[in-house]
Amino acid sequence: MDELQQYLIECKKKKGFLFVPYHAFGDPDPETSMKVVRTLFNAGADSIEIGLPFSDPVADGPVLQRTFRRILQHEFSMQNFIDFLSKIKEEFPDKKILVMGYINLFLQFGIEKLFEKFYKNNVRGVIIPDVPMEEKSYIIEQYNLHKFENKISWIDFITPTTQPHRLVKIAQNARGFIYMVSYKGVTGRNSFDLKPISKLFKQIRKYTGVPILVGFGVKTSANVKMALEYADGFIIASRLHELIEQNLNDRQKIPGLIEQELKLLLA
Amino acid sequence: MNQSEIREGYFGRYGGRFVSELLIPALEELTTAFKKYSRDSAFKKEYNNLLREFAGRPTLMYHARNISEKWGADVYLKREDLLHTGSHKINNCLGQALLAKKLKKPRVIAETGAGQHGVATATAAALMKLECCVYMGNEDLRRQALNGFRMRLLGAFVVGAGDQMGTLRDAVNEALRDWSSSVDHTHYIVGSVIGPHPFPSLVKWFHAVIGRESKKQIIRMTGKLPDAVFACVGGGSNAMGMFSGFLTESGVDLIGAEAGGTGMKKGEHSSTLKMGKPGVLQGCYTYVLQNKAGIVDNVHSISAGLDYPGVGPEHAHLLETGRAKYVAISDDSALAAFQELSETEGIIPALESSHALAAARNWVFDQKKLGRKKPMIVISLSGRGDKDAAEAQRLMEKQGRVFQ
Repeated sequence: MDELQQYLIECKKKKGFLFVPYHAFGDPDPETSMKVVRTLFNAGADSIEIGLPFSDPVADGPVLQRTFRRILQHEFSMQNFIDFLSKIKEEFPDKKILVMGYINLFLQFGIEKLFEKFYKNNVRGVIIPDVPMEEKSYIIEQYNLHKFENKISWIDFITPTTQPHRLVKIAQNARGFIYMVSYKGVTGRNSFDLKPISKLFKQIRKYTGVPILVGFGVKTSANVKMALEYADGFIIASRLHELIEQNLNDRQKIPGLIEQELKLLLA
Repeated sequence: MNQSEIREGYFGRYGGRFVSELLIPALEELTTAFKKYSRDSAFKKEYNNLLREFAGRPTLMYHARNISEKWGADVYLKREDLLHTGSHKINNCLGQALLAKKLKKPRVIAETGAGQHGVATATAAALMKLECCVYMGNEDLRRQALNGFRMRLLGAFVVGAGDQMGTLRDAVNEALRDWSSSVDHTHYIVGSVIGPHPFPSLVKWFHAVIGRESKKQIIRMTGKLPDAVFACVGGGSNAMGMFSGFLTESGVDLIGAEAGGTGMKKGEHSSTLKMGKPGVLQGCYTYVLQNKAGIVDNVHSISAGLDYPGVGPEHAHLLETGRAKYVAISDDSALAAFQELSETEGIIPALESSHALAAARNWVFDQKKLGRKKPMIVISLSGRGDKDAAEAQRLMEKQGRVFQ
């Protein structure tokens, strides 16, 4: 079993579900960003997806597009990102981290080298929304990433459009967890209903023991309740960056507001 | 890597399918349909009829005598500008709209830069009774206002993309996002040889008619193959169409003209193949203008159709193998070529195509310096310049030119 799956299973044993929020690195500034990470862990996050900004985030909706644009007003450097990870590791040495980002940034840095640095900094999984299963195996082959197989889990998505034969293949090879996309579309929509895709969860369970985390559109405590009816945990992203966006002129308040929001959400 | 080892959807090491899992089923369905219909004689007949009766193919191969005399070369223009809607884009739109019909998708979406692909998509959609939505960058909507209106007139919804400075690349992002949620009932008519597999192959297939006709016509008219063919390259669709007719003729130089903009510093141009490096943008592995970390650059061109930080993956492959050459043409050279063809030959070219004209002119003069007498060349005149008239007038008056 890969390290991430093991970690998540242990986390779930403790409180019954998994809570994995997303936070884009550097929003709204590096200092506040670190405070947000602290707030998320203190509020009970089992892990955090630390997001890499990108100029052309085709899988993301307007909130995260504006988030990345905000972040990219300052030049992005992967080294700063790695330094940020190492600060998190220093402060939360027991927490395992995830990194989410578009593939181009991985390739430009050198994906093998990057995985090594990530692993040293407690990263145990990567989520790359523009790499489907076939390209993933090609990249693993091409860049010699087999050695990370159990160290850094490369997370797969299953979506409402995934055909049955693909679902089986993805589930059988899944590591870490499965990222279940709740609807057809980009991140941050205001409608959330898992009933139409309830069958998919049953299908996935047949073929894998990895946890299933639901993402896309989780914004309210009702959404959370529904997510936990079907899945092992949930991911929340756009809602948190909306809060940051609404308070850019009073950044001190941001961690407190996020804390409140999470209390309501997890109530 | 030899041909047999190249994976489906790849040109050498370029291409692939870098999109969200959500879109994979639609791309697979499209790939299967493309394989089936590109071998289906009834489909081909239906498509060719549309090209002949609706679009106006075959287009002329015109011996431009005035320019030939002026340059001291034999210059032939492939007149894609004479097609219905004013550019080569209609070849692809009619084909893909027909495919959408076969796939039983009642709605089509498209991105557009200069608006030519948007207009061609809106036209094909009107003809085939499909609902149509076109994404166009806000900056492009400003400089190509006429095409914005034409699309609306044809019944399409036109949606501005990106912020104030939004261009083609923002339009592609928005179209991909739309498609993520509408994929069940919508076909995305990608406008160039870019994006995830099968689009680079499919769009090339529909434009291959440019190269096929050109080769036949030039041999009929002159009895030989040209020394070189020229086409502008933004995403690279007309170039791929033209080049495809001559790829195996090693004696024919293939030259693509990219936008050199106002200079070769970051942000001043969109010469992806000259100044970019391999990376992933909008669904494929190709050359990309980007910074060291992999964040994609903002780019510039006088011509909205070339204002794009990526390029079709097959062009990246042709660059790497050396089969094609790519040059950067500045805004000013393009504008000069725009004027030269208008005054000398009585043909107003699109600003995009003006880049190909300028590249051809430079090449001819270089060849003559090397002692070559009267080279024979074919230039893909991919579109007509009406859409650029207002922007060109503004820029030329800025240069001090007075129109009375």
